[in-house]
Amino acid sequence: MAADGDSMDRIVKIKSKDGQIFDVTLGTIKKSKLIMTMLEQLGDSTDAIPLPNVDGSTLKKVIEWLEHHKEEPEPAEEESDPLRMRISTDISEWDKTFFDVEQSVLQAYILAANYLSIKPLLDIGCKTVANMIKGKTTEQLRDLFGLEDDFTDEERAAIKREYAWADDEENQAAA
Amino acid sequence: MFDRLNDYLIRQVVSRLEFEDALKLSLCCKEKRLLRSALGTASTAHWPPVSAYNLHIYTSNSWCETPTKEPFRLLLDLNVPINSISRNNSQMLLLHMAFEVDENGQRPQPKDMLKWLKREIDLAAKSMIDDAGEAYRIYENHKSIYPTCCEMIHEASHTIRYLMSRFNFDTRVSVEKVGGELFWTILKAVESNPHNVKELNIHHIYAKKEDEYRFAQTQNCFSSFNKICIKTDELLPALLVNPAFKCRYLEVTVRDDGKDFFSVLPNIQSEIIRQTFTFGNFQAAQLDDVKASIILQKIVTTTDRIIRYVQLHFNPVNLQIETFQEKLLSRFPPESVRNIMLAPGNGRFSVELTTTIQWLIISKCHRNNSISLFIVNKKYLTSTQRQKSRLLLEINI
Repeated sequence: MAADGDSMDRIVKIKSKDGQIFDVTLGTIKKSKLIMTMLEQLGDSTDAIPLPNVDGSTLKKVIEWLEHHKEEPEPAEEESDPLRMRISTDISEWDKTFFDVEQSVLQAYILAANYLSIKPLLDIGCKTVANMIKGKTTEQLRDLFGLEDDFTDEERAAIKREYAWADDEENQAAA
Repeated sequence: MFDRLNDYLIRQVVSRLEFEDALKLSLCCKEKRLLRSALGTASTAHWPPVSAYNLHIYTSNSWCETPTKEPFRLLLDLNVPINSISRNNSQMLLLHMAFEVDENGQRPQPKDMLKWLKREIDLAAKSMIDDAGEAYRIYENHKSIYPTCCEMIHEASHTIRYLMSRFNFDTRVSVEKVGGELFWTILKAVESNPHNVKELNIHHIYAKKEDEYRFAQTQNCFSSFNKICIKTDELLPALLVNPAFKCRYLEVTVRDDGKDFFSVLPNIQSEIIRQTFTFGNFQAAQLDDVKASIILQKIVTTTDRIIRYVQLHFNPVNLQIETFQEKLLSRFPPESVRNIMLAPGNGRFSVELTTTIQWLIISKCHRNNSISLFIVNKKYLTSTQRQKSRLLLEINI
């Protein structure tokens, strides 16, 4: 066990897209499958691991997240229970605060989590986006995500006809 | 937000949405990638599956037959358009699928999701028939006309696979009067989709002898069920003795003399076996010497299990196995045994005789440090008349 503890204290250097180098312990970075795989391939090399898809500011926040969660065990395999995938309320207050950022930053966190293969971080990021969507109207979603309503009048009428089955009020009126 | 996320990441988000929310998202703009990613295709299962209970699949070959709904508390019927007529032989096939959802429970299902499913099923079936050519007439008063039975089966199989990928079924799947291709389709669909089905009820499989080889293909499916109830003697020997058939609890109803069942009984791997006759008339199935010897073998096997249970839980040093077996067999002569049911987890072993059901109860007496095996009539189990139980054997440990 002592050996394990020592190895977890080993310092790993990682280098962001813009050249910033961060020193992190193996215990902190171990949740990233990408980095762990690269470390296996590099052996005892002390060179900084290049991460060309993550900028320095995002990488700094990812390390902050990893540091906060480093003692937590690997989460249960979420995909094994399809119903669990729908749960998006189990986000801790700390994580809610962490992800309370602008959309562009949230997007950067999700992309970084996906690239670094940090599944728990990716899950929370996706849950945060899902929570942003829940309960909103189509118009509100357009405003939220800056999506342009590019339907023509004909297309809009066609959609209305296509999804009439989902409109309870229309169904009741028809009945 | 979504312009830089790839399809996988969008699906990671959408899979956490309820149907209405995902639908509203997809209607925001006509940008094709977003729409396609959010809705997905019929074959992918990233959409949040509808959680449902007690899938009931029923087929009939007559318009007069209607599926019974009695066992279900709340049924949502999918009037799947498989009501079909074959021109060649005038045979008809009605596929009825129903399932139960818990509207008042913890996992309410959006009604829109169910409507959407029905519509998608209609479209899927329509497009398939349209592709086949203009010769087919479709959807005339919910009747589809197919040139052959194969066409009907093909469409029914397609529908079942589609449904099973969209639902998450809990509890059990009932398969009634479903035969051949459809039966195997259902099993494969259960196997290849992440359902939590604990129990499979099969009533009257209509399968051909040639289907036996398919048991091997459904190995994982059978082993995933905790309990399987079978009311059929079609394919029974092949099913029960197949190495793939591994379920803890087997409940089987056999017709007539139960010949097929008794022939394979010693080789069934299930821990708990309950067997009854369709008509409940044991007189119609008097034991001859051969059957008696088969049951005797089973009781000996049962005895072995009881001994293993005692050894495992009490570790007795004074257990005399031969004496125990002798006493057990004298108490339960093979010719009187109708059913055997083992529930070793709680120390109870039920043996149903032709006249009564008796429990063999194993308990430990701390006062004199012994294990006692009692025989008690089942009707006294919950009463204060436990003293009527008879001591079969006492082992000092």
